[in-house]
Amino acid sequence: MTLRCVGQPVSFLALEAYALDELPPEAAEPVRAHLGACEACRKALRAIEDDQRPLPAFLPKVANKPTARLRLLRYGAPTMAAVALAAGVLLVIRGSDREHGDHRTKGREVSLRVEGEDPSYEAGTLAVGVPLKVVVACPPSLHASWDVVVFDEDGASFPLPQARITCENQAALPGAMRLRGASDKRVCVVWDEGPAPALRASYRSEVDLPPERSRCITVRAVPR
Amino acid sequence: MEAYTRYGRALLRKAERVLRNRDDALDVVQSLFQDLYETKRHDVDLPYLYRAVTNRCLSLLRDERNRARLLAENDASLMPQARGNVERLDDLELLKKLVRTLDDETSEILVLHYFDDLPQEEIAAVVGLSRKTVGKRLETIRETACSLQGAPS
Repeated sequence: MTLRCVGQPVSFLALEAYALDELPPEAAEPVRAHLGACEACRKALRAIEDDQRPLPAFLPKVANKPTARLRLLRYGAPTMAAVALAAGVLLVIRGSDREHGDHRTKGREVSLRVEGEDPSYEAGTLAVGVPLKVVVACPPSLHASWDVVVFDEDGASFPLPQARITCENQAALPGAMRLRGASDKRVCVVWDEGPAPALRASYRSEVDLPPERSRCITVRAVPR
Repeated sequence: MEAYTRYGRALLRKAERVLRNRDDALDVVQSLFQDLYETKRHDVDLPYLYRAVTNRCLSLLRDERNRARLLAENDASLMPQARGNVERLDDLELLKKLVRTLDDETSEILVLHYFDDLPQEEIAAVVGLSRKTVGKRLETIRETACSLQGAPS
């Protein structure tokens, strides 16, 4: 049964402020008096006070900044290949087709691979500093926002802008990234059919990715 | 972030009332505090945050890409029990049509009236309009709702 307020209902804003003891005395007093006489508003206040659902931890946005060990630079940044060659630390990163799990979304297969943009790119190996494209194969019926997350021991990095793409057999995500470092990386794509990509801050490790909406491969660094 | 700990639940309840979807409400509140954190805004109070959540919920509702998902995930249990003499807008489809039709200011008035149960005097103070103008805007909302009901989405 819907309870009827005895007068002008106390707004939810006022009830929340009252529950937090944030109303100034001159505003709190009429609210208190109203609550004393109005079962409907008392019940609304009780619902607020009884709401003990856990509040998820606040997660600041994950910095898009490259880390010390692994640097992922947006395409167009200074050429890392030259730097790497000069330092004598050229590595080869070999893409692996090992994927975690058999992730499908609503029965639709999505696969992922990383390709080198450099014409000298040798199949299966990716030189450090070479611009890398992330290419997905996804069904045309999938309309989603896509994000790329790279994990290594330093945590998560987001080398490419989030983007909506038209799905096909070889749909390249906009932009390119460059990898540096001597450690293996997990390169993942995560997609969201919602309005906007999911909050990056929620992806701090691979286990945070939604299994039904993500796909990962290992990109292995091999000294050459 | 202290403000998040203090006001987070109140803002989640507010976002849930409008969106009727816990996950979207969480996203709205988290993204709001992330932006505040990045801009180092710490001097925020509940009325300010309430208004910010209103605007973010309206943006989400206006985005056509959300339409099917929000309707599919509509959780009516997140609506608080109505108090007898307040106007409610329980039809999420109609709400989405309204916020795509009305201007930003009138949409905000809609939320303050139908979801926050604010009296007209307080709405006037929040949006910086006269009480009379707020009354007219509420009439506009009712008329628009009538004309949209039954209209194709």
